[in-house]
Amino acid sequence: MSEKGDIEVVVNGKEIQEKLKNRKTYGTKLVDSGGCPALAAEPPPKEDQPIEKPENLEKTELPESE
Amino acid sequence: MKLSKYNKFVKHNNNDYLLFNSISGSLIKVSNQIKKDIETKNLSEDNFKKLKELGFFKKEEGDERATLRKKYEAKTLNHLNKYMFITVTDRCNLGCHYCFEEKNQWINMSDETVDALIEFSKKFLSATKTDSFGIGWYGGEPTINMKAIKKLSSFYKDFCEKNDIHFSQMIISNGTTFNESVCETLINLGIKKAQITVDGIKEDHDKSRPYLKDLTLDQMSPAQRSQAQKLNPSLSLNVINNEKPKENLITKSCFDEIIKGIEKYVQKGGEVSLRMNVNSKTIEKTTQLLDDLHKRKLFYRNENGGFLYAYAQPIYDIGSCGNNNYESSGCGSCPSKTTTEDPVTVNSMKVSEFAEKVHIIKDWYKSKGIKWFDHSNEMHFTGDTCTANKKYEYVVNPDGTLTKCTHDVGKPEKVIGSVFDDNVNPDDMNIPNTSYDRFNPFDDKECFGCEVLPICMGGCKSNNNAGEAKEYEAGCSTIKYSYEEDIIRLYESSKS
Repeated sequence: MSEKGDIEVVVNGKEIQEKLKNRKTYGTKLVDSGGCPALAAEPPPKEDQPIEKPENLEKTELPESE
Repeated sequence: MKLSKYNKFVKHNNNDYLLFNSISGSLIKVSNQIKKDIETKNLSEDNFKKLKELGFFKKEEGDERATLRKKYEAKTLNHLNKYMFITVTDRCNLGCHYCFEEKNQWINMSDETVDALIEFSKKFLSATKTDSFGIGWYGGEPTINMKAIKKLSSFYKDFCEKNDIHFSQMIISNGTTFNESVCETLINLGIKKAQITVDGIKEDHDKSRPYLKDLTLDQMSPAQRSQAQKLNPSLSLNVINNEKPKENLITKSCFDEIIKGIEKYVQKGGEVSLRMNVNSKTIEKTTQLLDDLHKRKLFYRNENGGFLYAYAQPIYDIGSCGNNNYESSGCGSCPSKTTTEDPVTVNSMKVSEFAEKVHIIKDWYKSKGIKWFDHSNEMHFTGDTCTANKKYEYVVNPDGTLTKCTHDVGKPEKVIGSVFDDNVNPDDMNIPNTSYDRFNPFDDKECFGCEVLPICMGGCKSNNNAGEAKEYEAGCSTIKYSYEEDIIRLYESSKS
């Protein structure tokens, strides 16, 4: 703890570069595609997508039973 | 030690600053005092070491841009990761007024061409070591020629398995043909990723991205009439202009067909990247479309792994204006864009205008707690560029000719070779007669001085006309115009 305040590391670029070394294919978006909108078209990583959970979905109004 | 040229301070609140480095991708939060200490290099040994490891300080000697250049140029010659866009047809069932493709071949890739491409690919993948090979199935509308996709995809899968090559494939489709059978076939072939495009909400989409056969001539915009002529070359403008309006033949909504197709594909495990084409008017309405898709539960990964992700792209109309000075950079950046009558084109945007408005979509994602995925998720240097500048990447045209960019499908002047050429050596074949060869962002004054160069690597080489049309913006990444905002979003998404 410094008297002048901490340096808070939010994103560690060293870790990013390590991951890149092990990447076999393109990334999915603009960076690895060099600005190509077609190459950038690939969907993002599956693991980044939320899984369907009841709390994620909007409540559906059910018709009242007669 | 000296500070990296690619450090960027952004004020976060009254007392703190974010410091980002666009080479390493490191992001830190510091107090105002530490900011001053960094700028004056008045740091403790520990902090100095930490910041050096994160890429904020560089060695005194040498120019870091020279290092970047070296890595960029090495990537353009990288043979380990190969890629091909395969245009199995230039035929299409839609008549989008802004389509950039010439459609002058109007053919499906023949059996003979498929066989020649297989022989070419064996040489291409074997002449130099290959770790990974990717394919983008492309058109026209590629599902019009499923026969070619089936044969080629099966060949590549088998060849790559035998040769220990990581194989991946995706398809760029308009989605209108995604019926039960097509979806099943694509999934079985391992084509589980698709980009599908809509032009906003149903009302807007069906106007600008219609089945041309369903429109009467008087319903078509001038650009759509031009498309109609491509679809049916025997039509003459005189006939069109004199023809009386026909009965309205619209029987089904193109938008509805696409959404139905997406739902089928996603249910079977397909991953859809939904491109929402927008202009300055329709971008305001994209949240309606996103709400609709959200109600359909498409954003959530289902039991088969399928999901949809939506992102926006501004429309660049490069097919209808006829003003050759601006042809390659698109009407979105053309000062005379009001010369066309088409309302969507008139409202097209420059990249900077798009960057100002795209927060509408980012905010929607934030409100739903779904991760926004664009360049802000990969804000760091990789050195990668696109097919246009890479030696081991091609676009295969339906007749077997090879070009370097999807924008050049069907343009004879852009052809660099053919899969039928017996003498072609895929190891030696480079891009000797294309303008892309001339463009290196590290030689370009504007790119060289740009703070986002490590991230964008010069942007789209076709839209910036190999560096000669950059003043029209279309080749630049939106990050150039939303850099500070993207850094703040990176901070927020990393903390959440």
